[in-house]
Amino acid sequence: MSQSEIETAIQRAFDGSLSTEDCLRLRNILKSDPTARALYFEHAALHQLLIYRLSRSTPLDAARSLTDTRLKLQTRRSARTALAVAAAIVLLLGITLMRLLAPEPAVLATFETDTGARFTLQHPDSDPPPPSSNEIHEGTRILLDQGTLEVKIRKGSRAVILAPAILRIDSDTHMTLDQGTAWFEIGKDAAGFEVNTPQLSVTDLGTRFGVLALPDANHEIHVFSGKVIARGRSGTMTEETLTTGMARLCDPIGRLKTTPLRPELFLSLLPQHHGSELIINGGFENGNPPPPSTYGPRANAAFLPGWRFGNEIIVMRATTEGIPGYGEKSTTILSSTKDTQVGFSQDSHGPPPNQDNVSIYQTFATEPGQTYQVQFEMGAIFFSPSTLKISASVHQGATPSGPTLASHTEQRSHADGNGYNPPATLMFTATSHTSTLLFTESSESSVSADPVIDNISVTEIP
Amino acid sequence: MSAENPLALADFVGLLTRHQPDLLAYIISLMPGDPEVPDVIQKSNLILWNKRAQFTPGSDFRAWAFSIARFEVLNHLKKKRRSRPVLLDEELLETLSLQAHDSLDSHDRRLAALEICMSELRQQDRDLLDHRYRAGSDLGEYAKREGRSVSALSVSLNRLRTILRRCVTRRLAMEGGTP
Repeated sequence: MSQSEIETAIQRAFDGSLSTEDCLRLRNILKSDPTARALYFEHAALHQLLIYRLSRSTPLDAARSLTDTRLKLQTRRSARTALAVAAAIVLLLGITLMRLLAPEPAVLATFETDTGARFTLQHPDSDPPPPSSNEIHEGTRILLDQGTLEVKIRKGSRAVILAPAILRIDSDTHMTLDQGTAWFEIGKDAAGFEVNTPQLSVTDLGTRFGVLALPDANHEIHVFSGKVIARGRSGTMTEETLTTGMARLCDPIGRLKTTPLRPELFLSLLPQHHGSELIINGGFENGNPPPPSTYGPRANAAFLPGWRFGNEIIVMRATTEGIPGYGEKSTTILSSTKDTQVGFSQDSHGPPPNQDNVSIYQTFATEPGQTYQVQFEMGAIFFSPSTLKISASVHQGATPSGPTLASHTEQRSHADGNGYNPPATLMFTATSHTSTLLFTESSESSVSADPVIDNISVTEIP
Repeated sequence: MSAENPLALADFVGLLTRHQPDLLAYIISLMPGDPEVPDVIQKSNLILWNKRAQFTPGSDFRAWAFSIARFEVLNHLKKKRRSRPVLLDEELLETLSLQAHDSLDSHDRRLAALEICMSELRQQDRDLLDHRYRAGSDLGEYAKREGRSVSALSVSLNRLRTILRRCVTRRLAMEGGTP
């Protein structure tokens, strides 16, 4: 068999359509040829990914439910409940593949979130679904403060929304996105689906697209496949039909202007958060990987799911030249995991004019009275002498403006050289069911020098 | 691990969750084209759960899960061989099983790469993949609707998967990781 015939035979094997004769031939080739085996594994992995990516209901759906349940378990601390729920979880994991043909929801829409998401549902009707329900009725308004939300809408449409977002599902062909980052896949039966932001109206003609409706910015439409009609909602109300690969922003007088297509700004799946971390995405690896660039791109919701952040936060994995780390050309620094890092790019003498711009924070579930340890890595890269500081603090409640429970300032000076400090720790005892971990750059001068952080974790102290 | 300790239980559940994609890929690789993959993953999960006390926290959960799944696949194939020939005999299954641990990693990075590669396909090609994997039905109905033959669609499907495989491999290599 030629290489191409081997690849075809492997695919037929995974489709269950390989003839007996070819089955025996492929078997012998796989036994003797390591290259063919490598190809075989690549197709096995692809087969699994396509099932995961394209099936309506995947093993990971169950896994997500499972992770959510795990968090509840941590809070409730009920062994009996834990056993019952965990048993149910195992069954869920097993049967999920059987649910690939799950029927469309009879309700207008259903939703799921990633672990750690914080949201509020405002129901317009007098008979709202129970709080534990994942149903969305006509006119339901969703306020997503943190994390990612996936909405499955009747007629086969799907949207993945990134915080911070405010939206309303008006019908199976209409959504209002007051604020947020949203990726859409519109079902064939829902052609004509309309998304309205305060600035922009987008009518689908059978497609996948993303809408950016960020505060204090021009709203944008990015078309990844198919066709949409985009229209400014005020001023000149310019209208244009956009096709695959096109993107437009709506300027303040309603004109549509060309802007680069940026698929990396959107997520089309709920991010996976692993393990038993209290802080979600503490390693900054669960979002879209930032493209290589010198001193990295500005953070966006798709790069940093789970976190809230200011305008001068950078997410970086490698330089424009492809050198791993944070920095430029061949001068980079690496954390212990040598992967994505978050940088603080304020470039000023004296304290920053707006500390929110150089802050990143996350709210997470805590148990009042329980003591926790926060650990993080802090590094710095210098092109001029200075001392860089990162203040880590934990606050009571769901905002960084709550009472401070503990704080620690980690610093690194030019004399220490480019690189990372040993991991820093901070202990706190929770006083409420939610706490917020905040990192802020507090350097007195950071011209031509950036502090960075990575590998944040929070653990309970027994 | 004590089943009565909710924290330990939560950790175990976390591991089970995290390794589901790899476990599925592993079972698919040992049972290519077999419609009973869902049954085997279900049985494997139940056994993992029942044997959770035997798992040592901190040890390689993935290797442990694979070894349990391997026995389940072997049990399944023993029954299957009685009815029709299968691609993997015991010798090949052992060979692949030994290689799987290293060959089926990087799920998250593969998924991110696939997302980009999918966006580069034409709409009609995505529709075909969508039908094959989302609806899970055979190509006959789709062929009728699209006015194409099943064999032509099969060829297209193979071509698309080859494109995606190459694209994912290339992107992983560009990232500097193992494809």
